[in-house]
Amino acid sequence: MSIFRGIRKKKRKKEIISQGIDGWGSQLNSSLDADFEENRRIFRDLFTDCYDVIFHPFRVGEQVQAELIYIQNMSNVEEINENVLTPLMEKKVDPRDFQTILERRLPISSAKPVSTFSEGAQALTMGNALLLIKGVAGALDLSVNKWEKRGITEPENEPVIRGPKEGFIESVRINTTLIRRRLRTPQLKLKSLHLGRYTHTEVIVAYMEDIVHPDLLEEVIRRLERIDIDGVIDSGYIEGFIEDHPFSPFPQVLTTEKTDVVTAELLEGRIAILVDGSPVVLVVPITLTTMLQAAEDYYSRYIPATMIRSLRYLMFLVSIALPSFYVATTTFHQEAIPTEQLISFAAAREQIPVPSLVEALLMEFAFEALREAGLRLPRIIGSAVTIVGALVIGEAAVSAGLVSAPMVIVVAATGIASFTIPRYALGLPMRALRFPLLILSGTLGIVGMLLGLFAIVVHLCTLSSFGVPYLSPLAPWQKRDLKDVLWRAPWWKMDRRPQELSPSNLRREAPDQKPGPAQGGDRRDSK
Amino acid sequence: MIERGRISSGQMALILFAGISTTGTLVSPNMTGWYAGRDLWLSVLWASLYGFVAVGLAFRLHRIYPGENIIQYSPRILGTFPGKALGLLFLVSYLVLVGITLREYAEFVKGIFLPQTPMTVIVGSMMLVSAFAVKGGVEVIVRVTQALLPAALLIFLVTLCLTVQSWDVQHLFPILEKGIGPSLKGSMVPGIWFSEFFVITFLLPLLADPSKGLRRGLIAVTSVALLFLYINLICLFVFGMEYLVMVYPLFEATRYISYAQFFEHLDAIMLMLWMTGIFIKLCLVHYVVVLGTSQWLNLSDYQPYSLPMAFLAAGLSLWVVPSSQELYRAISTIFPFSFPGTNVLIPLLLWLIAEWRNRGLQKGEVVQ
Repeated sequence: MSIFRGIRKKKRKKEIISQGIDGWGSQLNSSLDADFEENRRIFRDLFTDCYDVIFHPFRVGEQVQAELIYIQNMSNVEEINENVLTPLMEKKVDPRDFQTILERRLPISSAKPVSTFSEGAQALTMGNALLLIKGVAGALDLSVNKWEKRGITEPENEPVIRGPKEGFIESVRINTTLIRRRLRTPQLKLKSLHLGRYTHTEVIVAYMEDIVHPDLLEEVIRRLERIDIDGVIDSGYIEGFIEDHPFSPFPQVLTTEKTDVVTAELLEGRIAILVDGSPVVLVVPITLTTMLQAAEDYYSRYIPATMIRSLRYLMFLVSIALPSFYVATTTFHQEAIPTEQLISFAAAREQIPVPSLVEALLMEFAFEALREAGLRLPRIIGSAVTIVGALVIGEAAVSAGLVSAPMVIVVAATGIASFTIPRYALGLPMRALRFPLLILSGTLGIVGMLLGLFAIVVHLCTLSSFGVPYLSPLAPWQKRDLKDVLWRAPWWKMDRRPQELSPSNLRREAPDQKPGPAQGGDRRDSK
Repeated sequence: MIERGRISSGQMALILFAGISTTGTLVSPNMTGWYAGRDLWLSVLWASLYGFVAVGLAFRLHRIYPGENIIQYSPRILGTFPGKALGLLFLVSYLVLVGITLREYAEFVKGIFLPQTPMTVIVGSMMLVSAFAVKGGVEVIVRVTQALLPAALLIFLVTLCLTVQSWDVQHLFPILEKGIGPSLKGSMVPGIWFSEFFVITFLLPLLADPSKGLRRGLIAVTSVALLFLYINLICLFVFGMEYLVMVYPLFEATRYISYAQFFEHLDAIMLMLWMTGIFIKLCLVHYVVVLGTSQWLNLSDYQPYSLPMAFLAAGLSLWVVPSSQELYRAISTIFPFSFPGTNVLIPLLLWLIAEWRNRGLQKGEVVQ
């Protein structure tokens, strides 16, 4: 029973918090009154000092009192005028109950009766209009929302040369359409949740039925439903709540703004989590190797794609270990450097007053500061930073004898290497871990650097994302899945989905599709 | 069972291969050569018999007591008190093995790369990382092996091939100059490493596919034998009988590599490769010590004891021998008897007793 003790404790805590947050809940959760005046009063009460909420009294069929409540600029006023007010204010209308009104009078495609105040308030804040009629119990929620959204653009953080350039935007409705348009099947399921006590953010869990592992889906839903927070502003909030290992610097959720990436991941049996208000979609579960695969790998031909991918793996290592390797070899293992090179290194380091460890830390620090400055500044001033950085770091620091020229090369190469990592989120831990690794290699040489790398590998081996080992299929080996890791197999060879994700529906394409003369279509044959 | 992790037989073979061969490739050729002269490569073949016997015994015992390792079934075979005493003997011997491995690593690093660094720092830092890995459990250790070993092994084998420019195959002859005696005597040294294969007793109960355990275990023994054969031949080809004056002949051989005035001085690379292997070995043996101790004391968990045991092992590595000369003397005189003694002879007796006590019983039944 000791296992359950922890769970029970947490539950009790949650109850206490829920009492703390929800002050206005008692009134809201009560169901709508039969009395029209009372309902009107309560809604006016709820939305006092909300200038944008419009209460529009009118008479149905010129007799019965009614009121339409909506929020300015969130509801489509033209539609309200044409499809709600005009038909209802006609003489003939006899409002007995909402069902008949709905069926006969209201030319609105989506409307539903509302029974509690909280439902009504929620509908209103989503941009819907609420219809109250005297003598009819309850209210009617009319879906007439319309608000301004950003146009669909190419995501700036994930550019591609070949491949779809469509990106998600802040509206979750549009985002789900973008996915639905690519996956035209009823098996694409979009489950809706509402998170955030005040924001009531719509969170959509997208998955492919039949492909996704049911246990995984259940776990994702369970982790999402556990979230209890005042507001969800960005998908980053959700990510922080559903990770397996909150104390790890490594991202355990894939974030992307590209519709094609999400579609491809759904087809591999992963689950996408779309959050309203955020163009960044979360995909779980992931592995380290998925983070190193760019979307373009799959669109270009497989031989160059394989070469570029292996280059990326190499750069991934370089981005974390190159400065440490340089410091370790120049400080402890000079014999590893060819003699002529060693002499020129030594000559360059002649004037530098500090040991190469300090030099490296200084340069890395400056580089990181410059990168952050370039990111945060308004675009117009951005070029100034570039010029200052190039001058200060590239030229002046060397001629002033602060750092040696080889160190500049090393730091620059490391910077370039870190830019080849296709996922920005994975570059961050690499940047952070570079510093402890530098200190280790400056004190214990190659031994220290390697011990640091071992510790990182051990940590990566303990990680998992929704139960999938972080380093799979490399560790533990999944022989069949390695075809998408060590090389990018040609499409006619990638006939199976990742084993961990979709054990029951493994095959994704028909066998024997290798193109070539054997498949027919060779013109010499047909003659 | 306090270990909830499961490993595949392939993972078991891999970690055994890495865990056992690494320190052997570093120090065994020289000491084998003291006895075997130029027949040292033959010694490996004789010594591999230890490995096959050790794996076979562990498998037999595991078949009688499935899901248990030697710490758990020795009290059932011998009775509580003698059984527990035997378990303690095994734990101490593996703890000593951790200490020796650490010491071998520290002597290598201190002797060649970091002469000024205190031994405590070298030993302590390595043990700290190993303890961190063991804390993660057996699955983490095998994953670390799978992540690190393939690349390291590939680079290692290719690098060794590159010594081909200084090979002289004539050093091999005459074979069996003084008869079979020297090579048999020399087999005692690699025998230390092959007898270590009995650690498989701790891994067999954790297998997800136990039916493949024996086969994969024997494959691991064979590959270690092939690797030892390969490195011993390289030492012989490169140096002839001169390898006897070098402590790390294989390492010295790689120092001769020089291509295109750029691909040379591979010391740092070799250090990285050996460190990788030694790290895996330490993880494996330290895991065995920590798990075995917890089982021996009937504790409910083993992971919290990883770090305390690591301190003990680090201390032990400093006490176990007073100097590097003593270390190599021990490897060539004491360990050839103590390791096969605990890892082959005792299990053999244990197996005979178990068979005798369980005689006449139905399959699957065992005497409590």
